[in-house]
Amino acid sequence: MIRLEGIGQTFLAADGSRVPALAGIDLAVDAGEFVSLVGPSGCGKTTLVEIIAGLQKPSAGRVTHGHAGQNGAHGWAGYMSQADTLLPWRDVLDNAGIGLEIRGVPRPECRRRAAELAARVGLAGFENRYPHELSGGMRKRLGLIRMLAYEPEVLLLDEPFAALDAQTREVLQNDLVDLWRDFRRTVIFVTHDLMEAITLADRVCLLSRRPAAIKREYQVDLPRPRTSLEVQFSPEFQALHQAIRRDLMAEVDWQKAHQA
Amino acid sequence: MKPPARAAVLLTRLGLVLGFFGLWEAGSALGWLDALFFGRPSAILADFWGLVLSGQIFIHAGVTLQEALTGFLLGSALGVAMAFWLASSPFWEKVLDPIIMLIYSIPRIALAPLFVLWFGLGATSKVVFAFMLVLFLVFFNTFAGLREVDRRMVDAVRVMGASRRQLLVKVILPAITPWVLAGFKSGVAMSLLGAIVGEYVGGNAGLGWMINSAAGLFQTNRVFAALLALGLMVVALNQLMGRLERRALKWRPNSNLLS
Repeated sequence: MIRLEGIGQTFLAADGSRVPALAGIDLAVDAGEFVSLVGPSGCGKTTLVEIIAGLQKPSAGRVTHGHAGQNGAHGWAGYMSQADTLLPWRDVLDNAGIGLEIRGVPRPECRRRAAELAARVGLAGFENRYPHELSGGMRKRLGLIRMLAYEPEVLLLDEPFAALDAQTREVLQNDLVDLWRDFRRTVIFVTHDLMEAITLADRVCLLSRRPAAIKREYQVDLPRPRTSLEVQFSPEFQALHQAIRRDLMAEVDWQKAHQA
Repeated sequence: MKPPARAAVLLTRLGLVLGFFGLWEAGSALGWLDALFFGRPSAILADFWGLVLSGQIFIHAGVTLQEALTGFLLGSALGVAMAFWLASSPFWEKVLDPIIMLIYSIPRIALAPLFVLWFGLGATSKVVFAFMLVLFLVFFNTFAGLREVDRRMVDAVRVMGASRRQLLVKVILPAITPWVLAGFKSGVAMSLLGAIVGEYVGGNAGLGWMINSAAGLFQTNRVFAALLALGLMVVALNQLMGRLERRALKWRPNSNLLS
C-alpha cells in the first residue's frame, strides 16, 4: 500500500520565477496493484516518480507506505528508468546482487540469489558477463532482476522500455508481467504509450497538463494475459484506448494552444 | 589490405634500430662523427656496464626514483583529495577555479630555479617540484572523472538504500578509476621529469645531475649511459602502470587498446 497525499512540486526557473510542476497529486495504490501513469509530455511524470523514489523532496504533501517507520530512508522502493544504469565494472551477478550487498548480505549469498533470478529471465549462461557484453534487452532484464533481488515493496518504473525496439519491448513487457504475477509487488509504471499502459495495468491514471494533477482514472478489467492480439483488438480494449486518448489529447491541445 | 605480418614488422623494426646504431658506431670508428660530441655506442655500453659494476648507476637512479616517487605519491594524494573537495563544494570550486587555472597556466618548468632557491640543493626541492607537476595532473583528471559520473547511475543505487559511504565505495570510486589511473600514468612520467629537471638546475646527485655534469665535462658517453638508465627506468614504470591499469579495468571493452 502506498499513498500520495497532496504532492506538489515547484521549481525555480532561471529568471527567478516559480514554476509549478505538480499541483496536489492524490493517489492510493493497493499492495500488489499495477498502476500506469500517463499524461502529456513534460507534465511532470518523472518528477512525480522521483519524489516517490525519494530522489526529490516535494514542496508540498507527503508519501506514505508500509515502511513508514524508516522515515526518509530509501530502500523500500525499486526504481528503473529509461537510462542504462547498470554498473559497467560489475558482472551480471554482481550487478543483480548489489541491492542485497547494500543490506549487508555476504557476496556469495548475493550471487547465489542473483543467479536464481538470472535463470528466471533467461540470463543463465551469462552470469559472468559484463553489461557491455549483453544485448539491450538482456541489460533491461538484468535491470529488472537487480530491482527485484532486494524485494522492495514498490516498483517504480519510469518509461523503462522506451529506448527498446518494438519487438524487444513486447518481450520485456511480458517478462515484467510474469515477474509481477510471481512476486506480487506494487507497481507504478510511467509511460507515454497508451497501448503499453492499458496492456500492463490494473488501473490507468491520467495526469493533467502542467501543473499536473490526477485528471481521471480508468479501471482496466480485461482478462490476463493481455499481450495477445485478440485482447488488444477486442472492443473493450479499443473503447478504453479511445477514451483515454481523447482525454489525453484534450490536455495536449490545451497545452499547445496556451504555449503559442 | 592484408594486416602486416607480425614477424615482418618485428624484423624490420630490429633492422632499423640495428642499422641506426651500426651507422653510428661505424661513423665514429671511421672518424665521420666526432666522438667527443656524439659518443660511440660501444663506448656507451662499456661506460654503462662500468657504472653498473661500480654500483654508481644504482645510487643515482635510486636518488632520482626516490625523489620522483615521493613527489608522485604526495601529489597524487593531494590531487585526489582536492578533486573530491572541490567536486563536493560548489562554493570553493567557484572561488578557486580562476586561481587554479592561473597557477596551471604558468609554465611550471620555469619555476625550477625558484624551488632550488627555496628548498636547497638536496632532494627536497626535487620532491616539491615533482609534487607540483603531479598535483595538477591528478587533480584535473580526478575532477573530470567526478564530473562525468552518471547521476542516474548513482540515483539508481541510492534508491536501493545505499548510504553515502556505500555510494562512494560501490559506485563513485569504481566509476572514476579509469580517469584517476590515466592521471597516475602520466603523473609517473611527470614526476620523473620534475626530478630530472630539478637535478639539472641544481643538485648533487641523481641521474639528472649525472647527465648535466657529464655534459659539462664533454663526457658524451657518460651522458648517453645515464640516459640509457633513465630510459630503462621509464619503461619499467610504464610497464608497471600498464599492468595495474589492465588489472583494474579488465571489465572495459578493449581495455588493452588503451594501455
